[in-house]
Order: sequence, then structure tokens, then C-alpha cells
Amino acid sequence: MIRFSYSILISLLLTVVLPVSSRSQNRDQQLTAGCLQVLSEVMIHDITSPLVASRDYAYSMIAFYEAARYGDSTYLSYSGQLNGLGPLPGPQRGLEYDWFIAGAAAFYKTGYALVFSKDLFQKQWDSLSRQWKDRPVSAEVKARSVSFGEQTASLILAWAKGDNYNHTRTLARYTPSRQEGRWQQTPPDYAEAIEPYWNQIRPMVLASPGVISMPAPAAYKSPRFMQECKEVLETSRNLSRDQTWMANFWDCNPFATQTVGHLMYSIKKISPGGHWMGITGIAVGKSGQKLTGALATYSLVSVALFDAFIACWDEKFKTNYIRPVAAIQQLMVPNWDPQLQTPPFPEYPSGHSVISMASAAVLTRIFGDGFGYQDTVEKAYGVESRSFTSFNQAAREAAISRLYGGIHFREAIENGSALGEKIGAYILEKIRLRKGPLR
Amino acid sequence: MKITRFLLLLACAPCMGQQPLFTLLSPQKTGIHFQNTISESPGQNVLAYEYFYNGGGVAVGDLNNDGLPDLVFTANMDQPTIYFNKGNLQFEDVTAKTRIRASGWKTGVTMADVNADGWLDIYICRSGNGEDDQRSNLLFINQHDGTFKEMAAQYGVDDKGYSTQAVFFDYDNDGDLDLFVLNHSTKRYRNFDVAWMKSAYDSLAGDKLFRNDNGHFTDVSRQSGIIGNPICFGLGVAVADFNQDGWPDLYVSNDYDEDDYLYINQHDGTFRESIREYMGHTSKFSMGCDVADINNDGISDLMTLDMLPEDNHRQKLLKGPDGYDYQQMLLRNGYYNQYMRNMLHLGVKTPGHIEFSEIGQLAGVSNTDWSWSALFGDYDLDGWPDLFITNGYMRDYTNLDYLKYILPDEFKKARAEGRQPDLYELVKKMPSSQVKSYLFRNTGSLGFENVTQSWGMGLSALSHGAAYADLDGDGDLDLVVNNTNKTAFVWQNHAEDLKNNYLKIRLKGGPKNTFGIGAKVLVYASDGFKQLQEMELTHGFQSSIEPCLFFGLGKRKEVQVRVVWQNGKSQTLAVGEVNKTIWLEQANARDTVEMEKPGPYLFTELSGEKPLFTHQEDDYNDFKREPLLPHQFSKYGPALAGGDVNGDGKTDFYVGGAKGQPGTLFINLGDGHFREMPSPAFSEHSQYEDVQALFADLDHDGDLDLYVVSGGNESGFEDRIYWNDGKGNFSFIPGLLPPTASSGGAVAIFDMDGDGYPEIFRGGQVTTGAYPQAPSSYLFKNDHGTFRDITPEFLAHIGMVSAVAAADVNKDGVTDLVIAGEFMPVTICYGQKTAPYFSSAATHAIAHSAGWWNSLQVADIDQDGKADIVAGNHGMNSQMKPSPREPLCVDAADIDSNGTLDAIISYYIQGKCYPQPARDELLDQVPSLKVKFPTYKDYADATISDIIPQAQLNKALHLEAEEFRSGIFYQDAPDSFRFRDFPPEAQAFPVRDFLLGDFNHDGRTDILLAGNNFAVRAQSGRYDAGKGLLLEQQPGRLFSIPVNTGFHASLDARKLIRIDQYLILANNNDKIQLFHIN
Repeated sequence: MIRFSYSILISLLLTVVLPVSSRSQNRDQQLTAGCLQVLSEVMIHDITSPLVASRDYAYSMIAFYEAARYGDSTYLSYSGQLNGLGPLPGPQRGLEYDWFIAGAAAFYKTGYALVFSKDLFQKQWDSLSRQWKDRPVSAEVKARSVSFGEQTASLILAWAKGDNYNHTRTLARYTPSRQEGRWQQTPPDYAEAIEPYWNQIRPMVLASPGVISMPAPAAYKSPRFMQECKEVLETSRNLSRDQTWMANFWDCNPFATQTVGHLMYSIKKISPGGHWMGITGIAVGKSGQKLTGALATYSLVSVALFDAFIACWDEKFKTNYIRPVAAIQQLMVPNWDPQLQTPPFPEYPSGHSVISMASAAVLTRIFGDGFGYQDTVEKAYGVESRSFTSFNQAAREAAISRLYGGIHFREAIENGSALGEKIGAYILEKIRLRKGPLR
Repeated sequence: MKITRFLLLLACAPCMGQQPLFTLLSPQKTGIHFQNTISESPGQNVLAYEYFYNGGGVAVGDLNNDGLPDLVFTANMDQPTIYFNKGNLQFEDVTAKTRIRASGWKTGVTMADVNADGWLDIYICRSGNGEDDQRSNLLFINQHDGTFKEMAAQYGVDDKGYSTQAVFFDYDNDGDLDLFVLNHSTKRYRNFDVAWMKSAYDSLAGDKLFRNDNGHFTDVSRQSGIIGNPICFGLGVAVADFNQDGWPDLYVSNDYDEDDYLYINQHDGTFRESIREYMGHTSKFSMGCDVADINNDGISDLMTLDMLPEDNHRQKLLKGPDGYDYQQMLLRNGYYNQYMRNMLHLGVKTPGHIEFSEIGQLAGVSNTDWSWSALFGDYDLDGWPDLFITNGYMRDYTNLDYLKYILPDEFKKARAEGRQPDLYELVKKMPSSQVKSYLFRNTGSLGFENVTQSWGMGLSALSHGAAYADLDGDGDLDLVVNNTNKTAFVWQNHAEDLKNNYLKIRLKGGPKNTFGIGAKVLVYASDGFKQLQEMELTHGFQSSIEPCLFFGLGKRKEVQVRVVWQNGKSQTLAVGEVNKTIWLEQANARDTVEMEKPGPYLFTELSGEKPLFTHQEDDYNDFKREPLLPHQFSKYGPALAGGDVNGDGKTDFYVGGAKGQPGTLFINLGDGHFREMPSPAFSEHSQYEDVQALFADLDHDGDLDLYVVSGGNESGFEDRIYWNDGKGNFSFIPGLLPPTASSGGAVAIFDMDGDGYPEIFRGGQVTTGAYPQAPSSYLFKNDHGTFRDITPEFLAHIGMVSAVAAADVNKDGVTDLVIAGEFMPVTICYGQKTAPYFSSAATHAIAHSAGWWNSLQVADIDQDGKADIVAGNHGMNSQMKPSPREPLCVDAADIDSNGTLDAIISYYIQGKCYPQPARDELLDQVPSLKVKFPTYKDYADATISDIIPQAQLNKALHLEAEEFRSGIFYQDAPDSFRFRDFPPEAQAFPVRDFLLGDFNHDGRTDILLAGNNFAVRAQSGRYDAGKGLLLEQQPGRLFSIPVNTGFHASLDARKLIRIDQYLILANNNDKIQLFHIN
């Protein structure tokens, strides 16, 4: 490992780094956001689950970063830092590269391999990539950069193959418990639980899915439990306009069905992870981070999302906890409906709380606390933008919005937020992407 | 008798000459220009009212008492239209003159003589999203001068619910007409607390019953047991005396999750909803329904419609995930078994009861797309009720691509263009599903032949309500159809060309029921013909027929007519002149009807309140591991075996346990009493799923030892031998039997070498996790009580073995083995006297016999001195009906190289072979195929070669089945077999086991069948048409089916054995049943 880092360092030092104007840097950063957009849109079309989406984001963004990071020699590789990720190729010494093209090629190859609707991905990619046709580099440089990107992608994909994803596709489908207080399929679709074996996916940084322990939720029908049910019920009955807005803003349900008789249609929104990748894009844009820094940010957020989902799912299927809609309809008000459609998996802890706090931890470390921004991500899904004074404020709002939405109890939100914060800190402690502070 | 008649009828082609049976009459000829015009607007559309596209109805009846049937059409948005029949198929629109006006959203229409003045009145239902006063139902009282007066409020029948249709009938048997109103909800509830939803009351959604109290109607819904919850979505109603107790019962079809209701009349002014006691399952999205005696056995049968398309393409567009867990949850929460297809419920007599055996798939009428009206009528007058079905839907949004891709993409596009998505605009752009109506000819053998084209009906439209009537008075049934956005169809019937005879019967009932509603008329003839019809006017969907019964008679010229009025009086008369109308009057009926005394039965059930043993399955669900399996192999038990274990001359029996439940030995105490004999050896082995057992003297010590086969689809497949101490105490000695490693399915014990120590063949049922790979089968040589595995290679993986019989098939003095199973031909392994006893050279698979066999026996059925093979198969009451030309296939390969075998079944639909799984099911098994099939449309025409790449397909495990019928392989010459299938009644269910014996004491061998299979995929639905069936052998190798033998096997039957004068029937996950053989 040490020898490997050394060789990377040598190749880094010998690589010709071309001076690039800040305007073109800005453009690279916009194009990067465009690449991410293509990936997000295809995943939304395919109704990709939030978990699979987090996996697609992480591998694609890591590939992007690893193929493009040579544009700034202060940035370091993930290899040796992420579980199972071995040495990656370096560029050829003394030769010219276009690092954006290299990174985009790596991203494209990785993303294409991971998404389902490949034709759609290709179509959108073709229209996007026209925007960098006219870059002032020779065809030879372009070809070399693409080739380097593809080489990187191949290794990233080979690494991804070892994360147990394919194996989890072959396991027995989930059988809900019939014990009272356990999770049951929820109205209106009563869909089967998604990804019951996601804790078998290899985390990228965490030593194991359950390495960070968390308290157990309230016992079913205990006074505390009944109090929590009551809170969800009362809250839902007295929702302010702002609370309704928050619930919808952070809904992030990739597939909420609506039924009118035999007519069914669906509302698709970007996944929770996709929302935070979007926030990352906003922050990157606002801060004017250069390409390599931007990619470091994106990829590190995607790593946090990836691990946060694994830790969260580990706990969800261990506790296998009942959703408010099931508990309240059975114990309190038979015809109560939550504001939001309940997603199909156990309740504890709240996934949005875990992944939001983990993402916010990473973003706060890079951009600082008190970084204000306007979140426009949900505009495309028909929800008005909201303003935030910090990432942590946004994450806390995302977390509590699940109570307003009637899909989580307070404990799942609070304990989930604590878990997310710890995961963020854990990752930031383990991963070093730059000599000097990340910014 | 029945079969010869059937053959005779086949000979006369349905259509003679150039003219098809039906021709469409032009509006110019008839004067009928009515159409149900639906115009959508922002306030009036399917989003505002979900039954916006359900269409209108038709009522037929002689409104002006001129002897000619007149017509009333309802339009949802426009005025109802009334046509008087002027004769010669010409009609006059008299709407304005009748003074009938109706605003609001009109739905069903029915006629009845409500005020008993001898003139038909008109009742029109209303629904829609308008105000309450725009929704109250309307009663137009006939003023005898061509005008009508709306008097619903005066009569008390102005129900404000969301009504679909109504039916007038005399539910309390007091001589006047009461009223049932079929309503529907306008809001869908999806809730955990089903008990709450079911017990909640919604006066606008709930159905209503109005009692006629001297001409004024009183709402008695709540005190009479009528369900009025907010999840009622009533789309069909039928009245008939379903249980033949002389009182009218009600069937109600409900759309969506709510069960259909079968209201059994309690004779005290109340009904009891009893669907669970009468039917194994129902349609899911139940729509129109109809009643007729379709098999001419004198028992009313019922058809309910649903929305399963006939063609593969449309099926694939609308089928989502199988939804097994969701279905199980609905069942646990109190809903009943419901599946999305048309159901044909055949009334079957069981001891003290009538039950319905659902045979829609067997009969070929299960898939007719989004269907509305079912109308049974003998359109060709051959004596068998035929079936007309209307269908079509104005906006074809069942296509799942709309749900998942098309609409969300449109929403996204709208937002990108800065617009608010407008669902209404998008719905308006959706195409109609214009499907041809279906016309089926009753073949007389529980079958219906699609004659839509040949009888001239090949026109597509959005057809909803429909009624038949003899419009031109020539004795055959013309059809009138209410179409959406298209002129109504008037089909003239030309059955007169077929030269079949008919009889029209009109009734004059009591003073307050002038048309004799509720009377039952049985027409029968000396050749055994009999047919029951009940006089009810509401039929089909939102429609009613004229008060007249139509009997087609074929070539018969003399019949007997027996009428039973609802007051219990009856009259029988001989009719020597046919092709005319006869009048029957209640006043002339003087005979008193006596209830038919049941029995004497061939068998008497003695199970009693407390069953001897109840088999209890664990929760294991095979579909979790192999989602594409056709059925669950973990539910093949219990094992059942009989033998005299203590030498007292009485046969005792062993019944096996499911996983986690020990098997139990019962000692026969005589007189139908059994005592459980505790056995630690069995208790210690409760981890095994016992699927087969046999008693045999394995150690040649003069007592019966017990061999138990371990099966299932989980783990623990070691068979066990329990040794008898001669007194019925069994012990287990490890190490004597080589361990069996596959899930077992069948066992035979036979002494090959005559040394007194019998050998064992043990067939493997399934390879756990790798269906349909052949599991290991075993041949064990008995070396004085210890066993040696001497399985020849060809036998070791002979197939998925479910049944084996050891017998000397070729009469050479050496035992042969007949082996069959799933995707296996009936295979005969001819034995040799010395080890290895069997060889592939001396093995013969009967050509074209590959099936899904469950049971086998060898016996000389036809008494010709040669052994025949009786074999129970899957049956034909299924979507899959393989034949040598159109086999059922399974291809298995690891498509995505993930280490699991992907087994895909395909079968023929309309002449082409398509994969069975819906897109979501396939993607669940092979997620990477999402790349190949990104939409439902992309998958809708896929065949197996589109799923499995050719290179892989060439190497894939490929199995076929060509025969699903149960029957007998008659050995005509040595090793030459001729298959003869059982009669259609025996093809309605998987025959899991059977007994041979002379149960009717006529000196010939009978066959007593039991079977079913409840452990199947959610969408295919339980096979539960089996109610227990006796086949009596008639000379000439034909079988007849006696009614009500007393053998009642309607559970998930698995094993049937005879014990002295008793039968034991073992059912999966249920009690065992005990019968006395009389």
C-alpha cells in the first residue's frame, strides 16, 4: 500500500498540469453538474430505489474524481482508503490530458454500466456531451483522456462487482413478520419491502454496517410508543402551511402512486440521496470550487450517502419497526392517512434523517457552518424552493419533515439524526482526500 | 347419454347457408338511432367520477301491452330513450310521448310491474358526482296510455345512493315484489383495519333492500343483513334460488378488494352473506353477472365477469407483480380469495348443500378483457345456454406503462415547459380499448366455443348494457346492445335456419306479482334432457330482459314442463306442440312441492366436529426463493398410509406431519373409531415434511414396517424406516437406509427377486432452489433389512417424480414400475428378475404423455386381461392447456450468471408460445433484464428467445408437457397404450389421488377422485374446483358421473386411502376426513 501511494505520488509529480483559466474551470463545474443530472434523471425514470441510487451515485462519482483528480496535485486518491479499493492507474508521464474529459469518460462508463435504461442514458449523454465538443484540446489528447477515464472506470466497476450487490439479488424475498408491532406492508400499494439485505453490501468506509450502535426504539404499545403515535396524529391534524411545504419538499419519494378507480398514475421525485447530491451541486456552484475540488466534494458526499444507507438499512431490518400508518390505523384512528405516502420498508431509524445528517456533516466540513443557500432541487418536481442558513439546518429540517409527513415517529428522527452525524464524523476522520484542508 | 348427444350436436354446424347466425340491423331499418354519448369536460370526467366510462343499460318489455317487446335505453348524460316495437323489427322513438325525463347520471334500468296492474313500469338508477337530488332513483309508473308518471318518492324507492342497477323480486315470499338496489362507493379505502371498513356504514355506497308493504316500500337494508359499507362497489346483481330451498337468494358482484356477496335467504326476512360456504373464490374486479343452468342438470350456475384480456400482449401490459404477500395479507385481514378473471361457478350437489365449482378456465370463458354484460341465452336453440359478453373501455389506462413511465414523463415535460401537469388532458388523449364482444356456443360438455366471428359478431365497440329479446317474434333471441359513442347494436338472430325447436313460456303469477317473478321452470324430455330457468328480469349489466322464458329444444318435439311458483305450488304438463308460446298460471298450480330428499349416499362422512388429525403447514413460502415457480412444493403433504400394524385384522393408518409436526399412528378400534397411538420415534422426527408413506414388511418378520418419504422444499429430506415390534410399536434405527438427499415425491415397495425382502423405489420430487432440474431418485436393494443404493444411472435423474406404481404391467411375472411426475411422461420401467432390475433399454415413455402428473395406479379397468394405467394429472381448469401441438415448456438457465437457475415457463396463447411471468415477476428473478425490457410494451410480445440469449437457450434445460388431462392409458396390446381422458367434470381440478373400487355395486370398477391445489401463485389462483367426484364405468368404456355420492372433498386434498369399510382423505393444512363406504 505504501509502495503504491509512492508510485502514485511520482506519477503525479511528473504529470504535466496545464494552467486553466477560472472561466473554463467554472464551465467544467457546470458540466459536471450536467453529468450528475443525466444520471439522476435516468434513475428517476427507472424508479430506482434510494439505495440502488446511492450506489450508482457513489461509484460513478468516485470514478469521475479518480480520473480527473490529477488536475490538482494536492488531491489524493480513494484507493487504499475505501474498503476493497486497490490501486488505480495513473496517467502516462509527460503527456497532456484534459482532466474533465477523462473524468467524464470514467463517469459515463461507470454510470452506463450501472443504470437500467441504457438507451435513455445514452441519448441524454449524447446531447450533454455536445457541450464539450469544442474544448481547445487536440483529438489526440481527447482520445488519450477518454481512454484514461475508461481505464479508471473499468477498475472502479471491477471493485464495485465485489460489493455483494449481485449476490443480494439472488437471496430469498423478504417475508414480513406477523408479530405485532413489526413492519407490515403499507397502504395504498402494500408494496413488498425493498432491499432487505442491503446490510450485506460492503460499506465503503464503515468497518461494518452496525459499527455505530444506536438505542432501541420504544416498545410497541408502551406508553412512550402511544405518546409517539399521538404526536404523529396530532401533528398531522394541525399541520401549518410551512410544515406541509417542508413535508412535500423533503418527500423525495421516487414512486408515489395515485389512484382514481382503475386509473393509476404516479408522482416521481428525486431520491433523498439525489436531493443531497443536488444540494452539493448548489454549494459547489455557489462556492466556485474548481473541478477537482468539486469532484472531491461530490464523491465524498456520495460515499457518505452510500455508507449512511447501509448503516440505516442494517438497523431498519434489525428492528423491523412498524410504520405510523399501520400503528395509528390499528390502534387509534382507523381512517387516518398520513400526509405523505409511506415508503415500503421498516420505520426505524428514519433514512432521510440518517443520510441528511451524514451529508450535512461532509458539506459543513468543506464549506463551513453557516453556509447559506437556496435549495432549488425540488422545483423540477413541482415544489417551491426553500432557503437555508446552513447544511445542518437543512438536514434537521429534512429529518423533522418526516414527522410532518406522518411517515416516521420522533425517535426514528432523533436517533437517526444522531446516527447520521456520527457516520459523517467517522467518514471525515477516516478519509483524507487532500494534502491540507478540503475546501 | 350426455356424450352421445354432444357428438350429435357437433355434427350439425352452427351456421347453415351463407348467412351467419346474427346480422346487424341498420338504424335506418330499425329506427333505433340511440347512442350513449359521453363527452368529457373539465368538471365531468373520470377524475371527478370514477365510473364515468361504465356505460348505459337496456331494458326490454312490452310497455303498451300490444304483445311486442319494447325497448328502453339509458344514456349516462342524455335522456333515456324509449322505443315502441311496431313489428317487423321497426321501432318508433316515443320518448317525448312517454313523458319520461331523467336528468343527472343514469346507469341501470329494469322493468317490473311494481304496482301489479298488469303493465310494466320502469325503474331507472342514477349515480354520478352531482347533487343528491340528481341522484335519487326514478320509478316511472305506466299510465296505460303510452305515458309514464315518475313516482319513486311516493313509492319510497327514491334511493339517493350511487346506484348501478336494481332488481325487483319477492324476497320475503309474501306474494308482492320487493326491491334490491345495487350501489357503489365513490371513494377507495386502503386501510389496515379491514374489520372497521367492513363494519362501517355508508348509506350512499351501501346496497339497499326495500320491502313492499302494501304498495309502499320500506328500507329494511340494515335489519335484513344487507352489507352497506363504504368499500362496496356493486357492479352486478343476480337473483336465483342458489341453494334450491325455494327462497330467492342474491349474488352481488363487487369491484376491487371487497368480496362478492352471496346472500342466502334465511326465510325470516333476513339474508346471510355466505360466499365462503358456497364458493372457493370469486372474480376480483367483479362486474356484470348472470345465472343459467349451463350444464342442464337442473341447478342454477353463475357467471361473473372481470377484466383479464385474452391475448398475451394486453395481459403483459396490465399485469404487475404477482403480489403473493399482499394477497395473503388481504386474506388474513378478512377478505376472500379473489382473482382477476371471469368465473363460471357450476352448482354442484354435496351432502345437504349446494356448492359452486369454478370452471371458467376449463370452459374457456375466463378471459374476455374488460367485460360488462354476461348474458346466457340459447342463441342457436340447441338446448344448451350459450353466452354473450359485451366489453370495451373508453380510456385504456390499465396499461402499466402509463402508471410508471408515460404519465410521469408527461408531468415532467409539462413542468419543464413551465406548465402545471393536467391529468385530465392526459386522460383525454388515452385511446379506447375497443374489443369485440364475445359470443360463445355451449358445447354441452362444460365447454364454450368462441363463435364470435362465425356467428357474425365481429364488430368492435365500447359495449356495456345488453339484453336479449325475441324482437321479431320468431322464437329466437335477438340481441340489443347499448354502446358508448356509437349507435346501439340490434342483432337479428336467424336461428330459424337451423330448424331447431323452441318453447317460449310466459307466466301469470299471483295478484301482486303479475309476471310470476321467482318462478322456476324445468323443461325436460324423455331422452334425459332437462333445463332449469328462473324468472328474473334483471340480467347482465345495468339491463333487464322481458318477462318470458326461452327454451331451445334442439330437435325435440315433445317435452314436459314443470313450473314451481314461489308460493311452493307446482304444475307439470306435457307439451306436444313446440315452436310456440305457452302461458302458465299460478292459479292452475295445485301440486305441493316436496323438497328432494337427499341420498341414499354411497358414502357417509363421519368426520364429526373434532377431526382425528389436522395437518398444519409451517409458514414457509417457496416463492420467496424461487419467485417463478408455478406452485409451492413445500405443501405436498400429508403422507397417508394404511395397514394392520398390530395384527388384529383391522386396518390402522399413519398420517404424516408437516415440517414441525410429528406424524401420527391411529389404531383402528372398529366401527369408525380410531385411537391415537403415541410414538416417540415419530415425535423425534417432526422436523421432516412427510409427503408419502407406505406400510410393508421390510424385515420379513411378519409384521408391517413403515416407510416415510421426506419432502417439501426447504431441507431435511432423509427418508425414514420405522420398525414394527408386531404390536404397533415403531422404532427408528439409524444407518439402515442410505440417506436420501432430494425432496421426495413418491415411493413404491416391491420384492423384485422374490427373497421376501422387498426393494424400494423412491422418486425425487424437486430440486430445492433449482426447479426444474431432475432431483435424485433412488432404488434400494433390501439385504435382509439393510438397504443398498443400486440406482441405475438412467433412473437416478429420471425427472420430477410425483407418482409411482409397482405392478406387473406386461404380465411376465416380474414387477414393473410406472413412474410419472411434473414435466414427465408416463414412463414404464419393465423389471428384470436380477439386479439392477431396471435398465434404460427396458424403459418406455408413453408418447405425448408428458404432463404434470400427480397420481397413478395400474389396474385392468376394461377387464380385457391387460393392465391399464389410471393417471391423475393437473387438469384443464387453468390458463395453460398444453397439447402435443402446443406444449407447455420450461427453459432453465442462469441468465444473469449469478449462480441461480432462472426457470421460465411458457405456454401457448392464441397459437403462439409466450413466457408466463409478467414483466415485474421476470425482473424480480433476473433484474438485469430491465435493460432489455425498460417498459411493459417492450416485454409485451417477448418470447423465450428474447429473454434467454440463443447461445444460452441452446444449452438450457428444456422440458415440455403435452397433456394435462387426467385419464386412463388402456393397454390394447403389449406395451401399446391408448389414452382416454376422463369426462370434463374430472378435468376441472388437479387429481391428486384416487381410489379404484366398485363403490356403486354394479360389478364394475369405479374411480373415486380427490384433488385440488391451493398453494399456487397469487395471480393464477387456487385450484379449488374439486369437490370429490365418482366416475362410474359404463359399458363401452365411458364414464358417467352420479350426482351427490356423499363423498365431499372440497379442501386441498392430497391422499385418499381405503381402510376396510372406510375412506380416509388427507388434506393439506387442514383436517383429515373420514367416510363410511355404504
